[in-house]
Amino acid sequence: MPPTTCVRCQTNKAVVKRPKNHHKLCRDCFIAVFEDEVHHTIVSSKLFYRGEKVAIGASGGKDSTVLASVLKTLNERHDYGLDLVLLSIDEGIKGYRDDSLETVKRNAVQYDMPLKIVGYDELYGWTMDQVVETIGKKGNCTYCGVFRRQALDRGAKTLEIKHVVTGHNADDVAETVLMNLLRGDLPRLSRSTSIVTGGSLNDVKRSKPLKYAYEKEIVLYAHHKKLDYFSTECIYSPEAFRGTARSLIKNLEKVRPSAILDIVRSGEDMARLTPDKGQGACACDEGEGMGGCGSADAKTSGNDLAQMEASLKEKPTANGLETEITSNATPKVIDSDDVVKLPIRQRRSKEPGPVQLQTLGKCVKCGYMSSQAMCQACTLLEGLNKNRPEISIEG
Amino acid sequence: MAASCSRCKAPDAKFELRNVATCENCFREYVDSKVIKRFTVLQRETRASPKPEPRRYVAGLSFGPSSTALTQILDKTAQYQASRKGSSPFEPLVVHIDTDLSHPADAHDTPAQKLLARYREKFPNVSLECVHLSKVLSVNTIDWTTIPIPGDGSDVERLRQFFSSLPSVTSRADSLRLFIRHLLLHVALERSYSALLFGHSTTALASLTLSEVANGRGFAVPWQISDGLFAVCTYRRTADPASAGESSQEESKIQFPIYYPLREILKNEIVTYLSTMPSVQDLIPSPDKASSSVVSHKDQSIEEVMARYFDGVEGPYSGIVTNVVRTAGKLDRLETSQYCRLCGITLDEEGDSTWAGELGDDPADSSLTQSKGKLCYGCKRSMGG
Ligand SMILES: [Zn+2]
Ligand SMILES: [Zn+2]
Ligand SMILES: [Zn+2]
Ligand SMILES: [Zn+2]
Repeated sequence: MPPTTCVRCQTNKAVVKRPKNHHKLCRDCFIAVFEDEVHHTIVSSKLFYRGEKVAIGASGGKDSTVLASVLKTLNERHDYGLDLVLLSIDEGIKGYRDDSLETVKRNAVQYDMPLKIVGYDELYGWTMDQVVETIGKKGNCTYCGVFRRQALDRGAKTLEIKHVVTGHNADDVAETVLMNLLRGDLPRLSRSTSIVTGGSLNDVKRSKPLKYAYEKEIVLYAHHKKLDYFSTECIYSPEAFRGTARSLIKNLEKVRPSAILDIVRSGEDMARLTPDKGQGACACDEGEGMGGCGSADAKTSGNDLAQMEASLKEKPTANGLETEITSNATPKVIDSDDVVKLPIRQRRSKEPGPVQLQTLGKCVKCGYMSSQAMCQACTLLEGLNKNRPEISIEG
Repeated sequence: MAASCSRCKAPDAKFELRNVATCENCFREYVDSKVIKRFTVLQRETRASPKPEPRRYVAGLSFGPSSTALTQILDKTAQYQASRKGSSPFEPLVVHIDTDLSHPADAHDTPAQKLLARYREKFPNVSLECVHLSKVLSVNTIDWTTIPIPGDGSDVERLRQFFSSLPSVTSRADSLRLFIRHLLLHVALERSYSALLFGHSTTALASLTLSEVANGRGFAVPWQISDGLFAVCTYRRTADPASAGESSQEESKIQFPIYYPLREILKNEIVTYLSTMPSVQDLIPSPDKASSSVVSHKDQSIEEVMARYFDGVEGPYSGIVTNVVRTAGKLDRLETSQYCRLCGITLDEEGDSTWAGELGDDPADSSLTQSKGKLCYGCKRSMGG
């Protein structure tokens, strides 16, 4: 086969077939197109304002490394006037974070960005290793997930930064859409699709500038830009489920590459059809999009079909559609997400910008946004702290 | 030794139904009563007056297990109603759409017609009819100016060309599904039937839900999988060649009931149900060997990927299957003033403008500007890529 020329510049040899639409591009054009698309997302969603201090949740993994590289490039090219900082979390898992933190440290030098590493010990008084010593390996993904969710926000607060960007990509969003349909979680479905979450509710706004970028293109971008990144799986995710939504998405992508974006589109549209009208754009249950525990296969706990099935069986309505269908009164499954009025997601088509906030609940202990009196992290910590004496006896 | 039936206490319950031992009779009765209950709901929800009125329903038959089971239950119900004095007439018309484009539309003794003749013998209380897919071209619930149907040749030839011009297996499967739906709807409207029934099981509805999502049709999901009234627009054809390229006038809009009476039964329950009636089961053509083994992804549609996925999920995780359908049913049906001129779902202008704003204009879409504002996102995707 003769070498194909790039469809964009019509000059150079095409070296990339874009996973997203199969356009054949040369290296430079691919990089330019990728960056232009992220720029468009940033501008059309009005993600930033001039002079804003923004923390990039950095794990050393591909998503956050690409995010840091692209943001640095765009910030200079389009003169966003952003003050970018790398923010990394050290869960305190011996040997696990060492290499990825080394990567982040090199990134800080490469991108000439300040780096702040915050440890679970300083945020919670517990490292993950200590948590595992106390409760064993089973269930620790819950802890890791809950702690991680807040870690970036808490870390940003220590830096007095009000905006954290994460490396969630289109595959992540599509996966969350399918997972939430499978587990029947409409509030979470509507949250998971919005590009900006949080806001003044917990003082820290979260956004995902790579929301429309294909994972495969992120890998290609990292490859062609020769970015320095690290890939690993969290060693504390024995329950991390492989296969379900993620492999379904990969199969769909093979059949029709546009499927990933089409699922994101469907998710956004369905968010507007949920009974609470797309309210509730908080960041409280996103995966973290920055490698580590949630990387690739298990963004959130409960991805396991068997776990999900078991939890469905506990609900009285799970064993048939009868109750829903024969009567018009829908038995409402009360779930913490349903109780609290969370922020309204605005119609971005008309008025882009962060979500507006309605009623807010804050954790009595730490002040973090919460639908309960005490947030999940503090609840878990309370349980852990009760067990603390046992450790000191053993140790 | 098998356990005794938890429903009638008969010894030797051969089956397990929703985790309890069940005998053959009780299994059949369970499925029948679930479906008949849905007929009752349908009657109640669509009744125009308190007086008994004939129940004239069109049901689609693909010759698969679910629609065959639906035909069986329609036949049984019609027989029962006929035997009762004073009950309102129950008149089902079961329609098979023959999608075989390798023979002319008016061919006789086609494989589909032969098979339908066997169904006719088995189900004497329902009317059965075979309609060729090419008839869809005369349906006026689609605005034909918005999709690329070639103008020359026989209807079969035009359809064949249309399908081969589509960009993917998924596009073809998606359009075929829409055509079948329109054609069945057309038969029902033209002959003054009062509702259209589909044989989807819970599993099929769950699979349809996720297929719709993966086809970019998330907005359509609550319309597509709920029972109830569905807005149907008809379009007038402009015969005037000077107006070629312009879209047709919307002529009328009516509300028509579409129901899925098997929605509370899982696919494997339907298979078991049919296994208790060998003479019915024997009617069903065995599925292609090729489709059960692993085929290349290129030859698969999103629909097939989803069906396979749910085949794997259903056995051990039936609660999840049920959950998907229940969750999708909770979504609001949003109504706007404009309808997609292919699939008939209300158009989502807000979603379209948000999406265009976020993603920017895709130059590849420019060829479709003609259909802008007339086709929904999912239909544009199917026609264009
Ligand atoms: Zn080029
Ligand atoms: Zn707290
Ligand atoms: Zn029995
Ligand atoms: Zn459509």
